[in-house]
Amino acid sequence: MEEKLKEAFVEALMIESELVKDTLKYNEIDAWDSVAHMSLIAEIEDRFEIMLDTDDIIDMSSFAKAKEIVTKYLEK
Amino acid sequence: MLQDKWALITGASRGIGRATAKEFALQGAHLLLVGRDFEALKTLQEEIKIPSNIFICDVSNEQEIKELFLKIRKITKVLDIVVNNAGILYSAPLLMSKREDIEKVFATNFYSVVHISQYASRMMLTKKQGSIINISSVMGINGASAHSIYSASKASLIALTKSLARELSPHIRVNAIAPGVVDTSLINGMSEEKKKVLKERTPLQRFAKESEVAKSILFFATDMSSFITGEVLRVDGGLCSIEI
Repeated sequence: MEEKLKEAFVEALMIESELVKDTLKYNEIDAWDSVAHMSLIAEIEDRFEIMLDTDDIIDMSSFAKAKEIVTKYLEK
Repeated sequence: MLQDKWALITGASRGIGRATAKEFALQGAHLLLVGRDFEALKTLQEEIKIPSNIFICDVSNEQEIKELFLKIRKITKVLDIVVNNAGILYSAPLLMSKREDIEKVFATNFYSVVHISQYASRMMLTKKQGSIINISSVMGINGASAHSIYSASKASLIALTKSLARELSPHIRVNAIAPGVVDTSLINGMSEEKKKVLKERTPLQRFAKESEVAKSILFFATDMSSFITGEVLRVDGGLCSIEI
């Protein structure tokens, strides 16, 4: 799952995979701004075939948090 | 013009939504028809004679919208066009407008469009293209006495349209249609005298046909409007300059 999520980040944010670590945070790099966040959500939903709640979209503030949230949906 | 395009239409069981479905069907779109009246949707599905899917959904309910999109995503991963047409007309003087009625009007006419746009835009972003068309009203531009709540709900759609056009650019276009009086069941409650006065005041001297509004929606759905976003198109026969 982590690798797949990493791919989603790379694809949506158009960044190198080395940058995608637990410490990667929303708005801390230019590539992950509010506009890119929408593309990221679309990419994650598409890859994992899930539909995120608005609260989770807001909470997805780091790669670590994204893992936690996606895991929650996959376990549903 | 809409070959291989996936189009979602809310309020598809009657009126402008139904006419739009027919217009889109003629252009070869894959239709996702949303409404509350299963029989009416089923009849429409049979009439348009192209493959389509029907969904029963009360768009004033956010949870039902979420479930709608979960179903849609099982059918298609792509969504090209959304017509936010579902709405309710509400006529009451301000002093007689109850909070629960106001909330119902906004839940159907405004919040539904917000939530549908939230889900739809994410699907559109995967293909980096899309067109969202919101059905407002000339009352949302001019206002109308005894229709302050309805007018406000439609005015909010115009502000939403203009803002989303910026926010969802450059991939998704967002436009609105502002019909004047349309010959649909929504005007059934209007007196014959009022209808006569309105027709006389309208430069084109008649009400719009549903199909005429549907054609303007088609314009925003196709590449004919490929460089237009954030626009509000009045389809009112020139009525907008007078009070309804």
